[in-house]
Amino acid sequence: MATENLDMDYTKYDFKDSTEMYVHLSKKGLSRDTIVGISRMKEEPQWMLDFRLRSFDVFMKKPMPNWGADLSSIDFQNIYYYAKAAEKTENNWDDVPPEVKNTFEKLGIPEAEKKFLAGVGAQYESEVVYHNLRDDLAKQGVLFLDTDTALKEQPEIFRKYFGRIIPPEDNKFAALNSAVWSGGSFIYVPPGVKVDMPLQAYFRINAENIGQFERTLIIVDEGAEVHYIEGCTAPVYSSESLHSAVVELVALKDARLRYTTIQNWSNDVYNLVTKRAYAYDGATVEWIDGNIGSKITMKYPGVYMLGERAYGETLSIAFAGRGQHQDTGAKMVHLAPNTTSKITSKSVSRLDGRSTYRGLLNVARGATGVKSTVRCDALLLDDTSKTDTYPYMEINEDDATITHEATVGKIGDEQIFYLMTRGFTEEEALSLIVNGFMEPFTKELPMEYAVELNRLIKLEMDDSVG
Amino acid sequence: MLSAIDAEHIRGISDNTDEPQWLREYREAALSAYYTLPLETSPLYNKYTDAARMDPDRILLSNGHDLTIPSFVEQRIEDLSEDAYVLQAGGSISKMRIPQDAGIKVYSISDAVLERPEAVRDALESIDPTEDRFTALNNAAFGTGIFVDIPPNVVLKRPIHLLHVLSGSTSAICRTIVRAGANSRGTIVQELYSEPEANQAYMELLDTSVDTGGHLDVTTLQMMDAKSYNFSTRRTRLAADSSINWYLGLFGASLARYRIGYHLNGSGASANDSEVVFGSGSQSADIQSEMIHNSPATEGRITEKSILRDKSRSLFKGMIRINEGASKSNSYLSGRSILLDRDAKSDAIPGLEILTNDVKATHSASVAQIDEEQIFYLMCRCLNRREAERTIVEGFLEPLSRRMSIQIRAWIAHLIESKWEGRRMSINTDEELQRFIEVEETRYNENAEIEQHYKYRR
Repeated sequence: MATENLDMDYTKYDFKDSTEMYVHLSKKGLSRDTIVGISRMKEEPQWMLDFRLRSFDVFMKKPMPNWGADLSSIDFQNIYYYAKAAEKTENNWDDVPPEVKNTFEKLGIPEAEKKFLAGVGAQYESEVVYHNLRDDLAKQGVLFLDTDTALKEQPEIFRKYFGRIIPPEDNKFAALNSAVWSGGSFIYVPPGVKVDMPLQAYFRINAENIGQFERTLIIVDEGAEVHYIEGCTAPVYSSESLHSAVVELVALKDARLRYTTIQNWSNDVYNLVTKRAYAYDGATVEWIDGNIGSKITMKYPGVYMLGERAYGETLSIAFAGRGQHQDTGAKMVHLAPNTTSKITSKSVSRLDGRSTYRGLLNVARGATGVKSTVRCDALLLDDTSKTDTYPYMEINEDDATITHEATVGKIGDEQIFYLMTRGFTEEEALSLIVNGFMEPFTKELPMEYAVELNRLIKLEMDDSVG
Repeated sequence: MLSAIDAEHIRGISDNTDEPQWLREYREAALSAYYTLPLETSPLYNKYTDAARMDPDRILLSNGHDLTIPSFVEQRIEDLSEDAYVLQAGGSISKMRIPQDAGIKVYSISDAVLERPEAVRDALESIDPTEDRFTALNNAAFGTGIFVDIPPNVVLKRPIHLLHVLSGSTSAICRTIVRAGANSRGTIVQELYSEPEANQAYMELLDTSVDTGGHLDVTTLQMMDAKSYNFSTRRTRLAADSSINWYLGLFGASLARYRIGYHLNGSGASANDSEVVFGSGSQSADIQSEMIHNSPATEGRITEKSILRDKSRSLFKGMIRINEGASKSNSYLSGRSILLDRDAKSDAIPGLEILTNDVKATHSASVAQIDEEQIFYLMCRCLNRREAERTIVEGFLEPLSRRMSIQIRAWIAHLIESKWEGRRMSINTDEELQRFIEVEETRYNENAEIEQHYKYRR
């Protein structure tokens, strides 16, 4: 094992740029004026402004969730809802403003693009600053745009799907995002086109008290395939930032869509995200979801299987360290016959971290022949770490085959002892065991990400012994 | 009417038995909690409750006493001539027989208030009315009940039977307290009946505690009419090294809403909870079962199995909670359902809340139809489809009763068959039941043969 790669410093993510060079920074706080301001600045059509205002009303009406993690310290009036660091989205890396470019270079983004990505987007605060797609894919009609540009350039397909999978009425934070959304990725893959390398977007929060509300919409047409990866980081501040995204996916007949998230927000970010996919006949949607950072994450990626033989899968890992609460899970809603789904959730808690699995499995009336399995494993590394499991199962058909299993365990002293007799230090042994526990997840990632994830786990594990 | 329950009604209950001031105040405080609480207090389950199926406008409460005993219950009592029993019919205790040599003390709850004031007061005041709407209702308005005291070191040879019969005209709210002393051993069989066509509610709060080293086997068999309602809150507290086995069989009632909690308070305590739901027609079972580990090295096990026919449904909300400090605990929770018809429905939420490591907690849940291969196999053995299904269902449910005595296992098997055949459910000794006892005895004899082997001989 190449351990030298693991010696990485967390300060890699913890650097801050001045906000003075920003093109625009909204006033703190949320009101109808904020929303009208955002919409005007973006020169949006009237229907979008109406949608934003309707969403704002929904947001004001909905109470805060009374379940799940503690959100009582979020102060909606102490957040910047819109911050713009660059004038426009560039597709040539050299044209990106130097400060912003510097940030992403430190994070290794352009390097990654050269090596193993078919396209890259980079969002800094509220706006996407860089977007590029491999030429051959663009020629085949693949669209990979930031969401604001898509609204302008692809109005028809945009309006057909936008807000249809997750309406603002879905939950309070989906309503908030719908009201103030900015940036995010828009992808359209035409029928039969298979995108062979992943498309990636990188999300960065820079300033204190920023709210990032990106909006992602991915449509994979019949028989097409795509793999999308998002990564998230932010520097550490003393007061909280809010990240509240909405991600809508549509996989049409026989399409395949894989959506991978490596979430490594700093430990002062509230990460409250709504993600949902519609899977039509024979389509496959997979959510690969890694939650390492943030103060509180509440995220339950869902697949609504609308067509026969559709398949939904969520594979998620959560790592909850000191002061963190990872409240994550999955929703599988079987609305058509012979659909299948699988949920695998792995979590590791240490110090006073708390990891929660919260999942819904619904088999609707008429969805015959459904098969679904759910598996949750939790690992507690010390006696102050906590874990919860809340699997909801609603079964309305008699021929459904549903299983759920969960275990909670601790690392056996014997395992540690065994590895130590092989010359590992106690910390290395612990790290190896946790990596092994997470393996079903990491092996689904492109190699470079798996290495990165192992590094992150190593970082989280430092000082975990003794 | 339950929907119009007020302070005056509560005072009426107190006046009937001339209750002391503290109990009057206790009831009043609970009544105001009842008014404010929602049907489901936990945000985890607020979308998952069937309690609204009982219409409080149709639930009649009365302070009067109806002492008629239905004939099928008279017959049952004759069968029990040797055992201790308490029969509660309508809203009051109508018969009680406690053999002198049994060594236990049994009171009606109103007598216990006078004769064992401290024990009763402790028990009543340990129930927090704000935790659930129907707990509050019970605290406020229980009009009948039983206090069973098994003194320390007493080992009961025969079971104590608690029979409850819901009358056709009024509902009953009952508080039962069971105290098992240190190192005592006992068996309790609770049978819940109703008069035919009764559309009222039997609402109980059963508060059980087992002191250090004690052991209880409890069986609850609910055979009420499919139009009636059955609300039950059970709180069981276990001291160090004590244990309890509980078998719950829910066969009757339009809605059976059970809220079950085991509190493992002393180290080494263990609880084994088996729940069987057999629903047909439009019956609904709404069960919330919690295993709460408060001390080290405690063991818990909740196994729920439901068989659902026609339009029946079950809602199983299970929870293992291992609190800080309860290290070396081991807990298991499972919910399994077999849906026999397309309109049947099963929801399950088997939860875990683990606040410390060095514990073992596993849960699992499954919903499935009967395995076609098993059916095929049995049909190859000359069973018809219906018989094959019944055999599989019996095989699915049978393991849960294995810890109970032969007699009780036979009763359970008999009830499962009665339910399957759509017969009226009762456990009166007749040829049918005799047959089951014989089957169970043969099973027992198989063991006996092994035990006769020199290696196992005592």
